[in-house]
Amino acid sequence: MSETDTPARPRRPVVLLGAVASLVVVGTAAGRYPGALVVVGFLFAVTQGLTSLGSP
Amino acid sequence: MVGTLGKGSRRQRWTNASLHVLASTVAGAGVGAVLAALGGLLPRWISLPAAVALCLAYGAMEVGVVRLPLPETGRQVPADWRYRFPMPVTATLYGALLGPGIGTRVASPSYVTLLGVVTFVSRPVAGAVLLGAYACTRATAAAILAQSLRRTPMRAISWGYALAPLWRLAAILLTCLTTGVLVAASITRHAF
Repeated sequence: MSETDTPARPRRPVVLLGAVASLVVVGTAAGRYPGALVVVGFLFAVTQGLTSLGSP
Repeated sequence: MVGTLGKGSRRQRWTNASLHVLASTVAGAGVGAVLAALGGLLPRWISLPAAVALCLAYGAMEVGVVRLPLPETGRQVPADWRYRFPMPVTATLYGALLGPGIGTRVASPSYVTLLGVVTFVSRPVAGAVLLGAYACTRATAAAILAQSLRRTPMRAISWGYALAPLWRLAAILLTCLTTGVLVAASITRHAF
């Protein structure tokens, strides 16, 4: 590699997959606690309720 | 629909908004309880993988990787209800129609993930709480928006669109977390 070469940037799908996998792992860790799904589901429900305002 | 909630005197607007939120919450909670009760009839070895599959599939749609069908009618609320019924009745009917989230248009693919969680892994009470929270938030936001439409119409109208990327990011994040929690549930055998 010469001095003028720039290092290859990480490709976007790889970064995306990494982020998704990390979040799934965090969710799996949180899922050890009973009620985790209700808490996550409640947040999900509230954000989805707000999302509907952005629809035509 | 939002315009309907913004009409009339202050007292009428609050009455219509309250009826709209109440009807929406009751309808959402009712549908949530029924879906969870029906899903409860399935054995766990079917329901848990089904919930995970919906998370993965509609999470991929939220990211833009695939395109899948949505449980929606694709229609707007019936406009003629505004002329056929008194305004409080119309506000109530609109709330009941919009509360379950599938009567008109589904704004986000991740809503199917929420429906999957409610149907496949929730007890009826949890299903009622989750879809009731969705319906209450949706109706309350619409009611608040309707009040602010009278003062700053353009700002209020563009509010939902301006924040759409934020809601999409939140939906992706919560879909991933939900998938993880469901994977953990398959290991720990938690019931919801």
